[in-house]
Amino acid sequence: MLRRGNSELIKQGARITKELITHFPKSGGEVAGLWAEQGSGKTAFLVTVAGRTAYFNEKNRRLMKETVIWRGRPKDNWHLVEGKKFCVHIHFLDEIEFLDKNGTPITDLQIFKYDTAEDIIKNLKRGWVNVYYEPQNYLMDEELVEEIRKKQFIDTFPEVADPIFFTYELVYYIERYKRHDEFITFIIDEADELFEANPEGIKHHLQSWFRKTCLRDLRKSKLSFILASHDYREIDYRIMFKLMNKIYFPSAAIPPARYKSAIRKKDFAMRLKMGQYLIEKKGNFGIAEYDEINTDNSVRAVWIKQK
Amino acid sequence: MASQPVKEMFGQLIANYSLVSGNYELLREAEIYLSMIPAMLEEKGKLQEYSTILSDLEKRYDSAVKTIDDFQGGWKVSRMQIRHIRKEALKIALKENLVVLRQDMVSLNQMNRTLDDPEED
Repeated sequence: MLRRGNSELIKQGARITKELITHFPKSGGEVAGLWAEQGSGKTAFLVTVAGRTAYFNEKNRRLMKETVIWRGRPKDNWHLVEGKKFCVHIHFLDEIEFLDKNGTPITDLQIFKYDTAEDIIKNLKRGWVNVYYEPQNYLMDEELVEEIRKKQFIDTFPEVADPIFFTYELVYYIERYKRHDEFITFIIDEADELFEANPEGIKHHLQSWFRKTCLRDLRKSKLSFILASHDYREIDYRIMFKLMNKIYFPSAAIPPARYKSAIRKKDFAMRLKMGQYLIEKKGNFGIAEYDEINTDNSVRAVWIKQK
Repeated sequence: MASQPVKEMFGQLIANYSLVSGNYELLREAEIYLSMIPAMLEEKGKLQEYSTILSDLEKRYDSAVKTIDDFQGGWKVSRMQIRHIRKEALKIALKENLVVLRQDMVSLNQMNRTLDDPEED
């Protein structure tokens, strides 16, 4: 029997990648999981994808820059995105200073302050990379708390929630209040913080609620999600079943068939070179590549004061 | 004229045998050359031009088949014949543009390079 040839892998890799970053009203958004070991080019890939995501505008029948929402982390590389402008959203009680790799403050940043998730939606720059930093002291929206309590049958809810829960709130409100024809891509690095495997207590309920309420209809709502982490086993299995695309970087572990992976050779990703990735969708898979970026040139966020 | 997918498939078939070392696998590789190249040349109307070389390769293949199981050293001669077939067949394939040996990987950076700005709507 013939083995699947390299030319077929290259064709499929290009096709699936193109579908991942180019969104059409008919097909909607994409939900992708990305797994890479430390230092195998995950951030460089995310930076490239953020700059290349596009949607098809039916009015003028052209590909337009898609709005990207990037979950900011203390050490990040969003400023390396090419082809799109970027702005930062921070909570009004937080004072954050952004430093370049030499420790010099970056002053020419467009910063928006927010109080609630709705403020971010109001200030969202279309076609830009919108970086948000979760609030340090976070009180979850009352309306949302009530909704989660009802749906998850829970009596108590912590008054001060973990700041990472703000992302759930943001996705929930964006899905509800964004313009129907608008496409948005969420890029979440270190996604295991948000969707950790075997969560306990309230986090278990929140992840379950998020899957049922938000993740189920992301594609139809024209929202795309790219979740990056080191290993598929770090991600909640309930979230794993919702992933339409799976991306593996060199030496990443490939999940078993029960997680809807069509790749039978589990050591396939071991053969990849740096700058290459394996991508699969609906039983097809292929290989593609991207240019290297010097991610040593990172932006450091320093919380200098809390009012 | 052989289409691009046929040329790619031919290249892939050859590539699949690039790392093999068994005697019988090498014979199979020679069979691929000797079955595909004449067919593709005939399609191009150039079979006559290469008929002498191809019949020589066929003879070499026949002698290779005869001696491949000869443990007295005949298999070494057999492998030399196969190597010659590979060399000559590849020469014809490349000269007549019958094969695509490698396809460049597609880079994410080449996609969606020029996009319009929605803020300027």
